[in-house]
Amino acid sequence: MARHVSSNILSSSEKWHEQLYDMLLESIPSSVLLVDRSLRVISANRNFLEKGRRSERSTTGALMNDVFPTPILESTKMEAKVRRVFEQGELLRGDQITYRAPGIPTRIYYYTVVPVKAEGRVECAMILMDDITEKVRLVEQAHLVQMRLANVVEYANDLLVSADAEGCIVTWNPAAERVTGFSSRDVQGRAMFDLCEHGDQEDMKSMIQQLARGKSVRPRELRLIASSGALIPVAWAFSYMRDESGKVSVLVAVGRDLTERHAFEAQLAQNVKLAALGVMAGGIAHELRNPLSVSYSAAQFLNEGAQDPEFHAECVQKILGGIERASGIIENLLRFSRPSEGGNTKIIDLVPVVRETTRLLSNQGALQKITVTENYPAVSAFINGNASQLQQVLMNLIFNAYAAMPDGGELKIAVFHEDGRAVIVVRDTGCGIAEANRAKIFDPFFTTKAAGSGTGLGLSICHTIISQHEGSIDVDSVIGKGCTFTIRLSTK
Amino acid sequence: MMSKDSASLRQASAQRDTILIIDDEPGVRWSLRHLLESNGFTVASASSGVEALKSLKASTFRIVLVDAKLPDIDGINLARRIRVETPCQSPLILVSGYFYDDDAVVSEVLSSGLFAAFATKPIVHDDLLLLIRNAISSAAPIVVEN
Repeated sequence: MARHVSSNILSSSEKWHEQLYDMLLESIPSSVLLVDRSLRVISANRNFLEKGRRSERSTTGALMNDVFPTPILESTKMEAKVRRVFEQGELLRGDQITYRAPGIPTRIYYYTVVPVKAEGRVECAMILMDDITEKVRLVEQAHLVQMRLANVVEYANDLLVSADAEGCIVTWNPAAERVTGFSSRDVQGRAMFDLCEHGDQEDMKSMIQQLARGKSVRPRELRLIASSGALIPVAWAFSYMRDESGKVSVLVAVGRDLTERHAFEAQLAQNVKLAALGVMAGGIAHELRNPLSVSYSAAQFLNEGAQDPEFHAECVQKILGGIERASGIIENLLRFSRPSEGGNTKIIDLVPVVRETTRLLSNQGALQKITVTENYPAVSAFINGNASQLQQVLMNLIFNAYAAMPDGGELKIAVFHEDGRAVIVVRDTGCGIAEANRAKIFDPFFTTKAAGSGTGLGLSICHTIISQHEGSIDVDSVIGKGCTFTIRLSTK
Repeated sequence: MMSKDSASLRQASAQRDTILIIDDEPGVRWSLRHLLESNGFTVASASSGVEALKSLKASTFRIVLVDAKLPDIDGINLARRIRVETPCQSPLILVSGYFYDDDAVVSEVLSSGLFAAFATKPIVHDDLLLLIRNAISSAAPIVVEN
């Protein structure tokens, strides 16, 4: 315990004050050392003794230079500094001291030398040392975290944009610069919706308004207009931050450039189409060669000089009819093989899309002795979608159904309205999907078909396309009995 | 070589020259019927596998033209069933637009003897007639019993 050295007889009030100061000194979380003009320690508080691993006896009355380890004295030039405080009577703000006492981890202190004056003369100097080890560590850590975050923002492949509550851009990372061609300076302060493609501006505005009200919004795809004028499809995820008062002050948008992904998906879709074409080729060859054969035979009869005028006319009719039928089959084939119209959507009636696709594949079904029943609603089912992509989804489902029924069966295709949504059901009486596989069927490259027979991409693409249409696709199956795929899409 | 008296010879001759066309496509049946009839053959036809099996159990034909894709039974499977389920031993000719000449499936059914020949659609009349005549001349004669 530190004791104030005094020869005076103290009154009880003074004693009380002395005790109070002692208590204060003992309890403050700083190391306090009091030295007199001869640089001897008058008092050292408990904190100092503990941190320095010293006893009170070996400290009080000792020279300051014997109390501090030599390296600290040398690096801080503390003696000279304390002397200057005595001479000039001014407070000295020190610096950091890194000190490692034997047996304990390195600590970092910040020291201050306070002149303690009596009647204008500096009687003693108080050396105050704050242990700032934790603080320094936290600051360093915070700095590191900040650096890492800055790196993430700097080197992220995704667009990272922050905006104020009105949606005006505050920060715009290098990925955003790279993707759009607009520099951070170009877009600073501009409204985010301003950079969106015209058709997407209202959506962006309404999302920003929702965020500003503290509502979360679902991730969605909105297109940006690059400085080159090109449209960049970007999948955006939004979040917001509140200030101390709880008000939304910052909007954060993370965007992923989907250009490459869209190109890849289009390519994949085309590949899957080509694979499906292979399956169809056999059926189409058969379909096409029948009318060709009829026309060809009729032409051969005419060439040989058919005498009977009635037979002559019959031959001509067969030729015309056969060519017409063959041409119709080719037209269907063309419709099917045409590349997708990209990701563009418009308001379309689902019924003709489903009907045409089913009809297109009916040849194959007939060859496999599959009875196809179709059920359509009396009224149109308008949705916002991409006909070509939806056609592809149906084709995949129908082909899968055919593959599940090699020895024939029943395929039911239905479109109906339910709770404001358009529902497409494709139900087969095939082999069904094993319980263990049900969760995996939408995974890319998952297939139960023999190597070379299936890419394992069909259902995965179906899932992607339906998700892009903000719809759902579900499967229900009983092994050995068949399975039912249900697609639900919002009607417009 | 054939039957012993004139009555049975007449009957044999009639049946010998009857060709069964199995095809679900009416246009194809129309063209084949014209082609074969104008070349002196008698023609019967069936539009499905089941119908063909029924005919083949009831009558004998000189040649059977089988379409590869029928609505009920696949043409190749039908050929196997003809040999198992009916007394028919006449040459079978596969007529189809589904296969091409050097198709592995075609090579196999020809080398195994299941089919005597393969004609692709569109049908070249002279080619088909040649195939039919070759099949008739190389096939065992039909013995018709009284």
